[in-house]
Amino acid sequence: MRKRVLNHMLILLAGILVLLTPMTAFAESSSNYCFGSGAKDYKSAPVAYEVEKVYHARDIDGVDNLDNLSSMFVTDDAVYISTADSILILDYDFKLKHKLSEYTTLDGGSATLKNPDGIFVTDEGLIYVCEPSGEHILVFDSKYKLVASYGKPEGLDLDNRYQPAKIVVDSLDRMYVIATSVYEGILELSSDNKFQRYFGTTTVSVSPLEIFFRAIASEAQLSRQALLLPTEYSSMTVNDKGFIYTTIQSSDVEKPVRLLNVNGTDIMPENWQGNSPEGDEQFAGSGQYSGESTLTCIDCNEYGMYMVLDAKQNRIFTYDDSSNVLFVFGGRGDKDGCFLNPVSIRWMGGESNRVIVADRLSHSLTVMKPTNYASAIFEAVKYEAEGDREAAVPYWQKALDMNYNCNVAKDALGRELYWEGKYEESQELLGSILRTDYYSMAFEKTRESLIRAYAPGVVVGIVILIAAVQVFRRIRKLRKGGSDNAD
Amino acid sequence: MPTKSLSEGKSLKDKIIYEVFTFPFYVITNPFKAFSDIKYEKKGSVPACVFFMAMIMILNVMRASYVGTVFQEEDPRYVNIWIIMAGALMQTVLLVAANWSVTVLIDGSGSFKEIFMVAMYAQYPYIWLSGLYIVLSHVLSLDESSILSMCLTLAYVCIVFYAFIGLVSVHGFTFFKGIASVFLTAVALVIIVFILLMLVSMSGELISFIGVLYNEIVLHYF
Repeated sequence: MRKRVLNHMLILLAGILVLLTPMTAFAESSSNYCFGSGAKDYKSAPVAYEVEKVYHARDIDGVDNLDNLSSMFVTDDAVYISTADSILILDYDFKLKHKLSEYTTLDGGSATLKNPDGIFVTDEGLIYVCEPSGEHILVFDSKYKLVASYGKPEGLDLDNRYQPAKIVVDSLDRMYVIATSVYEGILELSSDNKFQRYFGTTTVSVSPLEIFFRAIASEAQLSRQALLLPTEYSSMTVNDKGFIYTTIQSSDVEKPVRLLNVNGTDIMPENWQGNSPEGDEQFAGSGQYSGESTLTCIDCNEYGMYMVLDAKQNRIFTYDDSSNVLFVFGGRGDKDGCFLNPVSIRWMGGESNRVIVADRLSHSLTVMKPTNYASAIFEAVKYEAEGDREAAVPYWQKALDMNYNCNVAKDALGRELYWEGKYEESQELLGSILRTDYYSMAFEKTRESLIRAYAPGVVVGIVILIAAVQVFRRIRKLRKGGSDNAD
Repeated sequence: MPTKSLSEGKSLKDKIIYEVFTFPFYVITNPFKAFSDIKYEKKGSVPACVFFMAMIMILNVMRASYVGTVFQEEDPRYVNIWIIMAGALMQTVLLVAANWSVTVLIDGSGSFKEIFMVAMYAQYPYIWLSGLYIVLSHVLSLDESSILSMCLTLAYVCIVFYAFIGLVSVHGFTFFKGIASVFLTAVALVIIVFILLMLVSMSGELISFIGVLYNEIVLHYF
């Protein structure tokens, strides 16, 4: 009897517990947040990008599969997508323009593309395609006819197979190639496929402790330890000035997003809080998806903005040219706007700032368009890039109205108010995000005007006070003297 | 030197003013004499030292949250005042305990109370200077930040200077023995911290063990 009562009690308790547990689903959350003033601080933000359409193979006429998506490239009027057996060339409405699959080799035979990867299309319309399995880079002209095939570059010593994965071509037709298991850096090849040098070489950082333990380790121990290899670049893109943006997949490098100049040195700036772009600043400490962001793809636009893809949380982080996070979108999951295994992200040209995301696992292409919030930020950044800070102000204000946590907007508005001479309003905005350098400048101005306003009064007051005291003393002395005289 | 009659002032107000202002400033101006007065003439008071400790804790919190925006390092909304206060308290208590445990072994004649008083009187300039720091931080801009950092540096130098003189005085050490005792204190501090950490992790283990035991019993018998 007692046991039955106990059982009922337990069932009741369990029911209450279930009802009390907050019913929030975290598994398929979209990532709408922005970073606050501290490293531990993140705030919710409005949705930045919403899904316009998800394209599967059946949605595009003439395409029977979207298997093994790996890379994309976007020109002003076309989207190039590499799938398992072909390169799809689509227009901006996702109508198939051409399917590049079989081609005539240079010696007259015929061949098919097999798992092509990186694509680059030059301004002249030459299409560079990396085919890692074929160990070569193929160049097609705008009529999709093969014009060149570059195998292993001349003068490059490799222990293993040459597998070019990503390619970027500069205005002088030099090729920059990321090849699988080449750890020295990006290969810089001349236009006639001669190896020039390793570009953007990364160095391994080894701690003294590691050197010590490696020195005393036996051969058997060493063979079981992981090799200390420099980091491998995972993707790259080039901006209109010829600077190359790259990402590094390894999570233990300090700067996983790099901006390489012609010398191959990293010139990526830190933002005013001293942070480099690295995806998530705070992350879960345990579990499958814990740890730093794993950045696998990058794309930039002409306003100095760039976005990186985090393959761990499937989030996309958008930065401005001073390395401030503008907004975050995407997320892990099945629903539209979340991704299972995103491999490539590209901005579509034109005013709309739409983004295509290729998802390998769900065999789909997601086209996302910016919301009002993201559009306002885009406009503001665009005007700032053009040097028109005043025109950017209403857009920053719009973004701030939609999201009071938007530190980038507060920062930009606060600095603009400073230049306009509205020091107190500027102080209020900049103080709230602890941007102390500009705050201090504005503070100096307000302090100065305070001193100007009150200093004369204070000085005159002190003089009068001293004079009054002196006069008072005199009078007292005189009276005393007077009384002395009277005595 | 303040006369003894002042310390036995009639009213409570006089006494408080003597203990909180007059005597500490006498320590600052005549450290050797004042510290030996603490030891041999029972000058100084423990309640005043406890008050100084509380002031230091409060000022540390204020330096984190009420400093001028120009010099704000951390968002004041995320300042954890308990951690800051515990930190200020622990560093003094640990240092005093470590010093006492060492000097007892090497024939230092200072008692725990005397070492604590030395530590507090040595931090007396720090109280004023960090108060000054908070006030100045509202007036100065980033370009003048060197004044502020000088303020703090001076405070730390004062602590080291007066604490060393005080320790040498109350223990009756020579200069070199004083230096040696400082190094040994550092070693003792490391040992104490290590034991504390071990204690914390062991008690964590113990608590989780009891939890497991409780679960086993509950699941087995009920």
